[in-house]
Amino acid sequence: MRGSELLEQMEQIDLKYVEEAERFRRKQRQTWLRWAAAAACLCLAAAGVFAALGRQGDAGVRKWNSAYRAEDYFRGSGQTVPEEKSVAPAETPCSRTRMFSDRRAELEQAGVIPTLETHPLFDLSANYMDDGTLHSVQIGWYRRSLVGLENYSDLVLLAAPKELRPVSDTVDVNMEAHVTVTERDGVRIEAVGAEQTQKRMTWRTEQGWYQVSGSWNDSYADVAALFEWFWAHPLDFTQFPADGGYQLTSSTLAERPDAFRDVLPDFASFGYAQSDSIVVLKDGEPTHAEIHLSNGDDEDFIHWCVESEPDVYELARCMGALETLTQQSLTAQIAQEGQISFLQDGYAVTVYSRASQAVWALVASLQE
Amino acid sequence: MDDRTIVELYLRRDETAIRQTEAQYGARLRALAYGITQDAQASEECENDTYLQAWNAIPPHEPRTYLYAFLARITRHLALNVCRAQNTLKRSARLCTLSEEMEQCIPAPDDLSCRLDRMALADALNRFLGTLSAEKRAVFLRRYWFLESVESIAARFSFSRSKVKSMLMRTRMQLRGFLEKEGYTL
Repeated sequence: MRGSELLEQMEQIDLKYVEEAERFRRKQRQTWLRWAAAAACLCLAAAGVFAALGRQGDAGVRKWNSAYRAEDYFRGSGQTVPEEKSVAPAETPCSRTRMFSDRRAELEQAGVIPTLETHPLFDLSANYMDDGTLHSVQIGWYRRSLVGLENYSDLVLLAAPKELRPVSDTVDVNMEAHVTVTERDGVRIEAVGAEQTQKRMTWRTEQGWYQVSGSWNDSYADVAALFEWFWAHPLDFTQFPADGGYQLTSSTLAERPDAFRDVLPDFASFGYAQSDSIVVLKDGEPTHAEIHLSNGDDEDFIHWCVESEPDVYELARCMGALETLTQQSLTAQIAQEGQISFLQDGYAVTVYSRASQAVWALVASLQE
Repeated sequence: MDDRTIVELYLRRDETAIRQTEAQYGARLRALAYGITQDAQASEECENDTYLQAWNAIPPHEPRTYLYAFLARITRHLALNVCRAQNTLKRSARLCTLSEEMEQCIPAPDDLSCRLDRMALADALNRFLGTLSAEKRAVFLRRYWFLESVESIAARFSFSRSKVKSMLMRTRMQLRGFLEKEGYTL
């Protein structure tokens, strides 16, 4: 092999390193602590609205009243700030994350979070500092469609307790145009976004820092409703102790050959090599796996996914149980969609490929 | 629009995905291609071809958390193909230099055969990169993945040119030592 070939082969390296290199910033000690502390409060790598606040007087601040509507928060005060300003390099000060997604019903019942029945997907993660103190909590409610994007929704709350530590490293802040500031009961609420774009509302109270956001497909009313809920029900941070919840980590099938052993076909016996794989572990137990299979010519000849805790959409996409699949039904589905999903011993399996015969051979081996 | 949403658009076969990708990453992809090809028209073509390939690759890929890297890999590949196609006419001086530098990483340079297959090589490279500090890794990738000039890397990391050069040289030697130790022959 020559140097030129090795240079080309660099493209095979793990894309996580590429992302890392793209985002990497040297740690610098700067005099930006005031900015950084404000920004780091909520891991505001993308928020920027706090930065705008620091430079803003009372001019342009709208006063809230009982007739205020959701869109009024976003009406725009006519202030324009530079679209992007790199204040300093970013570094999140959190050292670990625990997940509390399993506690949705319990937290709803206790009134800690709102009940959003329209959003079947949910996740809740808490970030902690080195000493175990809570840094921030992120809660997401998501909705999708089986076909199209009509129902798409991402509603997210990011919150942090007030007790924050100054950070020695600093944070990138994107300054956004048209920040609307509303004063309500002595608290300033900053909102950015418009129809067909992401929307965010940020505020700080005695209880902590909060930010709610909605996707481009969420209305002002959707985002404002989430804001109103947490305005009236400040998040109870004590619900998320550092030793609670569970941890998600990732590995590979090479490192965890035991993962889903009973439900995966014997790929090697069909002549396929694993070109890539990921195994997601929940407190060390495999919960999801994706295996990319190569036939020698195509590294993504078949992409095989197994999910032990399928969500409603994954379940809805399943054609049926493994035992009920026939070569005819499988071939028709792959010809139409380029993928097939089915249930196998309680797991949801999705296979992406255009090679229906090859997929059928693997599926048939599982039926035997 | 965030990456997750853009990928969702691809998955739903909504052509808005391409417009959103262009708005979000077009300039960076074009700059990457231009850095490799040094040709404005070719870099524009690489950018457009990247969108097409991304459209064909998502699904089955679902790069929700690494969309830029996913697109950049396509662009890099396309841009290098352009260079290869132009190879007989005008070989990029920068690519020559980069190739020579990479040659130093190879334990036993051998143009007769490639005894280490691509997957094993990728695995070895990934394991080697995993041994480096984030800073060294980022510098190494800016040079040999993004194919940036030493000057550009120095400016990006606030290093002197000589520091970048020495970091790269030491990392190349480390890679060579790693491959030798692991018994690889390229």
